[in-house]
Amino acid sequence: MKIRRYIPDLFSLKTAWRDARSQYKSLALYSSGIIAGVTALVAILSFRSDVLLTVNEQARELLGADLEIRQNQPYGEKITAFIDSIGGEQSTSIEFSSMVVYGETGETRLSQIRAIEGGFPFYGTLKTAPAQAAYEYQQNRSALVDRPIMNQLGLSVGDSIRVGNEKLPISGTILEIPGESAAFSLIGPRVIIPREVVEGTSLLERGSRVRYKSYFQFEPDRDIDALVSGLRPLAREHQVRYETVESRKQDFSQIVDNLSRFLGMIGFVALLLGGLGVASAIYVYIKRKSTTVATLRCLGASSRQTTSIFATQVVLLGIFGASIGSLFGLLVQRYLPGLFTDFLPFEIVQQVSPAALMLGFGTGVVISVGFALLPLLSINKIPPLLTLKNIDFSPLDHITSRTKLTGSVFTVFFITGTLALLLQSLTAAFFFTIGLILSVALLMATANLLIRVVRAIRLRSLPYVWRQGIANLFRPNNQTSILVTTLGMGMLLIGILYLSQDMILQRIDFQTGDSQPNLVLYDIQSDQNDDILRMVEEEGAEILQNVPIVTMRLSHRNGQPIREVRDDTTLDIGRWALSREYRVTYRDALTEAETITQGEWIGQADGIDSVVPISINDAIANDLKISVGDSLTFDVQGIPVETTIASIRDVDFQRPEPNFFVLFPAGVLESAPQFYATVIRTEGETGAADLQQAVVREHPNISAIDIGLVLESVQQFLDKVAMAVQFMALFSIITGLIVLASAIAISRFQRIREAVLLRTIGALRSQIRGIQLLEYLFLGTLACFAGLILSVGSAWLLSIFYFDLPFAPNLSALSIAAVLIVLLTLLVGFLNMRGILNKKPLEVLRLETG
Amino acid sequence: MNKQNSILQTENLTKTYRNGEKSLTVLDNINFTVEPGISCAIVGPSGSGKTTLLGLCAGLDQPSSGRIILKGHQLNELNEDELAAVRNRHIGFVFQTFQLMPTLTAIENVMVPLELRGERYQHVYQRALELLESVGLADRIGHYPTQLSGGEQQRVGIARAYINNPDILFADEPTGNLDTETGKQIEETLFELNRSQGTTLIIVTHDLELAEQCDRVIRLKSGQIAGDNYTGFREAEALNLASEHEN
Repeated sequence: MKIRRYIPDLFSLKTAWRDARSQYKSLALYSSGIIAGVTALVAILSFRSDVLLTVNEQARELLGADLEIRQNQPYGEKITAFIDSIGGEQSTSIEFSSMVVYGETGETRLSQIRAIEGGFPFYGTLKTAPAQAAYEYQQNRSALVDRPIMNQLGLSVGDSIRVGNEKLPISGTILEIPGESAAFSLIGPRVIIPREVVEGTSLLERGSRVRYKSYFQFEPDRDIDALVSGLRPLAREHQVRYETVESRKQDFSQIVDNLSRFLGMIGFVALLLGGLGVASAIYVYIKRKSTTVATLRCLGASSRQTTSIFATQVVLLGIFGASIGSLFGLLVQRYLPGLFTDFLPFEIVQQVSPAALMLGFGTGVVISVGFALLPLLSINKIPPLLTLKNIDFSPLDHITSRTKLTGSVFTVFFITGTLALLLQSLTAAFFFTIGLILSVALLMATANLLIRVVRAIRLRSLPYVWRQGIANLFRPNNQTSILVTTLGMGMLLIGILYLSQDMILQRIDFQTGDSQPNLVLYDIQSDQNDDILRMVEEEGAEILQNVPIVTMRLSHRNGQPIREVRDDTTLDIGRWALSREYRVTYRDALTEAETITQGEWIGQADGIDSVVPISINDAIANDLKISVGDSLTFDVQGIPVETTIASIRDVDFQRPEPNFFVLFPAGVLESAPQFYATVIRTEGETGAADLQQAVVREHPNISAIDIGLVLESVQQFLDKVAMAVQFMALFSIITGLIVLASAIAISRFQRIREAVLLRTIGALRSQIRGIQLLEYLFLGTLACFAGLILSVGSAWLLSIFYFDLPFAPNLSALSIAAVLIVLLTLLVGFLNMRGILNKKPLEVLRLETG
Repeated sequence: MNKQNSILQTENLTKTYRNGEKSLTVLDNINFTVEPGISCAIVGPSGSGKTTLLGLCAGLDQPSSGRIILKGHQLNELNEDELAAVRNRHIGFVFQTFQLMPTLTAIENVMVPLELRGERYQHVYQRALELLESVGLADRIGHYPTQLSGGEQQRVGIARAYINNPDILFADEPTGNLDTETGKQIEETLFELNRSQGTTLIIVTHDLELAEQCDRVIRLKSGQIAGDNYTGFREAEALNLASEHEN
């Protein structure tokens, strides 16, 4: 029976237990490396399960209705007829962005306006302070205003706002909108007004992007699926979008899945680091046990029995570590929602998820056993001759390259398989594993290089305590390389995270440069443009760009009507690119943000009657599956304009000035109906706010993007995201510290012997303490240095290939993190050192003979 | 002597260690036969190959060439696990550094060889207890090796070596780590058990006094047998024992 070969016999089980019994503390520490990883994993998986459970339970509150229909223009006859025919309780809203003047001081903000009529939300509660405001604002013709802007501008109920030409009293503060998280406020303050006041604002007439929505509540037995299948062809024909409770649930679940997978991966990194720690600890453990194994072999134990003894211990340790980790995970699960409060549109229902527990626990066991495999395989290579001769047995040296390769492949297979289960994608798991192996290998290589450098510069002129402290890093059976790698990985994760965040902010921080804009005005109508230019000049601000914008839609692609192109499944072109409204500009030259990648830029054309040579962005060229020489016909507000693709260009959309997918040459669109966007640089601290207020007072339809405020919002958003990610990265550091503690425990006897020897030959306690603390200081510093080098290297590559920024890493905040990690390393070392100094030399010598 | 009656026999035994192109012959063409029930000392200066010879005879290592036959088993033809089974059934060991498992108590250490055979716990425990009593450690059965003196540890080692009623017992410098007086007590215990259990005893030692107590002394020098002597009285006794075994 082959299976029997792998089941330990009674002797092996008994000996495994007897052997472990007297050293359970240090054995438990060996396996504790995986505790932090399993904690992270169970917490994230349970959190995910909680969110999905909540989504399931509160799915209708997410949408606030049974069905939502929306269109970017007022409904046509057919849609209106359909809406009238389906019955149910109905509510409508018009949503758009517009400048709002807040309070008496006249502060302005680009805000998200929702003009509602009827009982939306049908499910869930629109929470306001006072609570009745949510029910009365439509009758009172008053506004509900987002809490953050109320707090920020010191507004209170009873103050007023102006939306377009309408002045409305604030009757309540918005605390919570069903289906929306608090992070929505970062896009712009949310303002709810009664739909009937929209007409009086005069905002809808002048270029605003508007979304018309209808919400429906049906009887519980209404077949929504049947209703939706009736709506589908209509929606396709008229570019109407719709959402049901089920589709919203799926969308949300997808987002939650993506988030939890990402965080789960960071948790998994911690677990793998723990696995490395376990592998290293088991390696040293097997090495230490080699004479015991040799004795057992002398006494007649078979290789299966000796391997079984230690394999049983390793499996039980894995189970122990994973169990403790799972328990901690459940504890962290309770506090994790606090990190995501602003991103979740509901309060999370918490419960223990057996699936999450099983997956986290199973992964922990598999990883700890998988990583211990190679040292375990070396057990049957331990020669019984070790009982007679004092030979140094290094477990891995006795394993054949083939076994090592098989073991490694098996471990990688384990990791990829587990990851695939977590990520539900084999491809993602494969690439993540490759990336992970590469980064661990790089980190190990960097760690080894640094260790060598330190070893090489063990200067003779250094005091003895320093030299001995450094020498301790290289004692036999040292785990310096693994420790530097695990602690370094925590530093690497935090470093990359921080530097990327810094670069994202730098990328959009255009306030610092003298010639950079800080305010963009858009939706300026032709008849308002001159006035705006005058006002800007009067405020002493500088106009950097004044760009005309013409809206148009595609009517033909290479002579084929767009409707046919859409229906042609062989072409497989995204609906968005075919049916969207294109906002196009025209000029005779390219800007700094544009680079031609194919074809030739033609800056001047011969008018609307000949074929116009245009330039399109490479992304939209891909979406439309066209290249240089192909033709597109645009419907420019009723007039067909035939164009040919003269060039394809790369556009840096991250710059604050308006950029365009489609660029016309001068000489074609000058007489078409158009509006303007103006890019401005204002002077002084209040320049941007003053100009916005002046513009909105005169022309309420014009919207302004204050880049300073955008930057602030992005920073806030990134800070919130970073906090969640940093929290997960923390587990890597905790793993590193646990692995450190276990490594110290493994070498404890050796450390005691060294200390005793030093004391015997006259070393002071302070000297011994100094030597040990210096060892930990070097260890922590090396780890942080290795992590820093790699994170700065990765950030440098990111700055070149992704952010396209001059690389100027801000290392001061990272240095604080590094110092903290070093201090934690010292603390762990210090705590472990306590008993060592009190050992009596005789006691130690006696132990040695055992 | 008739080779059929031997318990241990080596034929042209050679052990060479290779390190790259260099090779070092530690044992060179060793031939001897050991009769059942006798005590035999292997002596010689450091580096003469004593421990290597013991390792080969006990199946702890494989020869470069030649044959070792122990209790009818040709050791050089067996794999590691077959060798382990032979050791468990026929061999006992006493080591210079005791080699007790530090995590097991005295009695648990003694029980290991029989537990490996899967024998009933109660029986094994009883037998281990008797042996520990016979070496004077009845009151120390629950102690861990670190709680025992060197002499006590070696007596636990001896009890362990005898628990499987071995046909042959290999002892590697059994008194090497002990003071003279304790060493004497250990020697007495070893020979006493050798006589009472009829076990063949092979001792590797530097200690000529100890060697002289044996029936036979094999002297090694530079990997070769430089002398092989029986004490007269012992020789006759050995031959008697051999014939008893035969019967």
